[in-house]
Amino acid sequence: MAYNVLIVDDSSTVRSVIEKTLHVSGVNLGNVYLAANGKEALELLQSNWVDIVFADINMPVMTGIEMIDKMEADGILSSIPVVIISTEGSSTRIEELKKKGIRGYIRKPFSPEKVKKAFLEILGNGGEK
Amino acid sequence: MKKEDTSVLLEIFCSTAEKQAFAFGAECTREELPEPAAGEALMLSSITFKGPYCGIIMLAYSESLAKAVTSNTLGTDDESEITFEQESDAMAELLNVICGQFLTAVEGEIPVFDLTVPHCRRIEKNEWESFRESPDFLCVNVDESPALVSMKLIDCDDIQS
Repeated sequence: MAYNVLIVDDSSTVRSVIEKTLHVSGVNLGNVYLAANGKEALELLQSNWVDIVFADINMPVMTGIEMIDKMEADGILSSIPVVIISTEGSSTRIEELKKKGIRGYIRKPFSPEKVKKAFLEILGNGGEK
Repeated sequence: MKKEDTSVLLEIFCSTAEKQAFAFGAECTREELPEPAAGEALMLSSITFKGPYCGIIMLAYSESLAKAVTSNTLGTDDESEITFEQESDAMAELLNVICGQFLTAVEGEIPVFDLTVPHCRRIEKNEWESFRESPDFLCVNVDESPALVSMKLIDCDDIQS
């Protein structure tokens, strides 16, 4: 079974790197959707099923935290696991995010192995080709 | 900036450039700083942070460094296809990560800081020279390309989100 991924980051560089990382890591990848902020992400989620979201926190228009709050308030979107990939280093903020239900946190600069590990831990062995 | 913060900023800049972009930097004197190539574009990226105190981190660099960072980060071989927008984005992200890592290194993991979206703009040679001569900027040789980096505290009221 191939898994659909949504990557949310205002940096096109980061979106490209995460996408490339997933493509070469051997995970079972379906469609990859890209969004530059939380608002774009929510719009994509309205018409596309996604199995996992990788998202930054600090983004213009709508932050990652605001996006998570909106997803949590939606009966269907609340079931989609979210992994944060961010420069955030404050344990205070990370704990707040965990209380909001994020499934993983990866600090930048990140290694490809951490992205793959998060993907497989959350989606299980079926996530590997 | 305190002397110990200078050392931390330099260390964070170099380690982040290496991890994120496979670019290897070392501090140098103003006299040792490589000269930008004639006619080469020069750029300045800046990011501000707001928390228990506020500050700005600035990074001035040559286009050759920006192309190398972008190429290495994206894993592309052909630097000629890299656009100015891609360069700005890659350098902005590099600065974003440097800022986050620096704040944790200096203040630990308890304080919360909000970072603004980095800004990038081209600068003229005279502005580059003023940065190079300023004691606020560290000179870094990154794979034979010049970079100037500084951090200074600012009034929190001066920060626009």
